Amino acid sequence: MTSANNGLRIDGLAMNFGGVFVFDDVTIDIPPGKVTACIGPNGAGKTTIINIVCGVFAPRAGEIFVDGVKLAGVRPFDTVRHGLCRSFQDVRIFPFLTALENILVAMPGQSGENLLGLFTPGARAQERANREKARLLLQTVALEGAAGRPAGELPFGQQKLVSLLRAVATGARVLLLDEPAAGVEIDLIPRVVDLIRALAKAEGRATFLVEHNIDLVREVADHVCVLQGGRIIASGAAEHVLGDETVIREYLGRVYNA
Amino acid sequence: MEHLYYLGTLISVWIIVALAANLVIGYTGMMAMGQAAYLGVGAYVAAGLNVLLGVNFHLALLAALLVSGAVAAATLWPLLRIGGFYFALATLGLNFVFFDIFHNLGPRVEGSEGLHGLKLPDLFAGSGARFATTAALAALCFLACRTIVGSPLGRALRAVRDRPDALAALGKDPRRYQMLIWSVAGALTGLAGGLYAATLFYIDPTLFTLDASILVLVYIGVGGLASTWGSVLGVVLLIVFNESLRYLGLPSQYVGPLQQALYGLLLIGLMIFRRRGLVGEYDFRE
Ligand SMILES: Nc1ncnc2c1ncn2[C@@H]1O[C@H](COP(=O)(O)OP(=O)(O)OP(=O)(O)O)[C@@H](O)[C@H]1O
Ligand SMILES: [Mg+2]
Repeated sequence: MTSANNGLRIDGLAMNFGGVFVFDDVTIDIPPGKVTACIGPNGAGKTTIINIVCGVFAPRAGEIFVDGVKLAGVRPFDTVRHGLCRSFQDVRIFPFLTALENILVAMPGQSGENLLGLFTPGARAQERANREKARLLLQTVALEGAAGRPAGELPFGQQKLVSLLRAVATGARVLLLDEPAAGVEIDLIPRVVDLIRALAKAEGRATFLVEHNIDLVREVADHVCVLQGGRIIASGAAEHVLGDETVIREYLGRVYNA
Repeated sequence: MEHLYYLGTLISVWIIVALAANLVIGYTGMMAMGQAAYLGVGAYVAAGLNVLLGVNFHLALLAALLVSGAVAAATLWPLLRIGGFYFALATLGLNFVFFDIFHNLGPRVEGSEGLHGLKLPDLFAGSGARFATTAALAALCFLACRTIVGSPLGRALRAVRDRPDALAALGKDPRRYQMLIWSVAGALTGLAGGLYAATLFYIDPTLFTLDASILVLVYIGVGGLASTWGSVLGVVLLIVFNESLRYLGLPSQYVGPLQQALYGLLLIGLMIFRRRGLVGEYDFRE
């Protein structure tokens, strides 16, 4: 539990909003180098898990560990310092910033963001290097052509890709991605798949993936847990969980008939 | 000529105020409705030090800049947790409070409502020199603002404006940037306040009412949000426009009301047909 690179561990999380019960005893291990997916019907509490991990809400019970170290009193803007970064189900792009600027603004430790650092020669060199990095990131999803366009004018799927790259650019070792493929045009889905794979496999990041698109989950997830009716009803290796009759009936039946 | 110098000086002063307001409103999305409060702090600090304590006016200007920056930081602190409409209301409140402070506690010269009798050094003494110095300072502020908005800091400010919650999720506390830029804007506005005192020779609390704050909003609204050139253009055009009405040969009792009405119509037209102002880079619609 205390080794240096342990990913994220969610342990015995319980939540309710006032009198409204959401879930109980949610335990999920999100190891580095792997994609851990969480599926479940609308309103199951998937986004709420991410919100709790990122300090938006306090849970009723349970603990969060990053690399074996317990997180306590984390506020949303501290998460990256603790090695975590999340994306949003509803994108939350910076519409008046260009696609490139959306990524640049996410990069940590910029001396040009301080009044005094602004006038040091190092700030310019750092900014040039950051721009190059941001451009390369856009290339990985074949969006370099959109670099200079205001992100708010991009098609939804491209906005979503940019918002993922933004999280990547923070350098966080643990990424929590909230439905990265939802609403994304079908021809862009392969880029989402490749990106998520690269994050986990090539870069070794611990990736928590909340997603409704079962085909995508099948393609990228190593582990899957199913959150339903306020608890984890199944969890384990992806092919095992996704092959489970009950899961398929309970979950897929619901989603696709909805 | 005297009058042209005076106009040029006045324009320079308001350009600084508008640049500062655009930093917080246009670039950072903070609804600053009471900037006249910091203008007044700067004016009172500079004039008070110079007139009452005999402090050299250059030093008094520097003090105006620093004190206003500090006052801006201190007054923003309690407002940081509120947003949008309520923040706007609170900044109006600030303006009222500061007006009251100027009115009731502000220093005054015997027999007047405010301060006069500035002892101005050479750079500010004649109307020509005063214009040149004030315009040079405005140019400096312009360059400083352009440096800020074109930097990584400027990018972060626009991110605060667009989606503060998303910026927080990327590990950057929006309030840090709000604090920083609000203080910078407060300092610049305070500097402008000191220059304003030198321009008018006389200050009293009525200069720093909500009217002045609203005028700033009109300047940057017309010139354009999130644009340094917009701040300049708005001020120049509206002050020149206002001035030109004086030469229409209307009976003087009509000039004031006519100015008001034309200003109002201009604003309404602009908001309907060109919300981004003349050269703005941002509008609050989205
Ligand atoms: N801020 C909040 N206040 C009160 N209730 C909330 C709040 N956020 C979420 N909920 C409730 O908690 C439950 C779980 O919501 P959550 O958004 O986590 O679901 P989800 O699994 O992400 O669903 P979806 O697949 O639709 O995104 C829902 O019933 C929701 O209405
Ligand atoms: Mg959700």
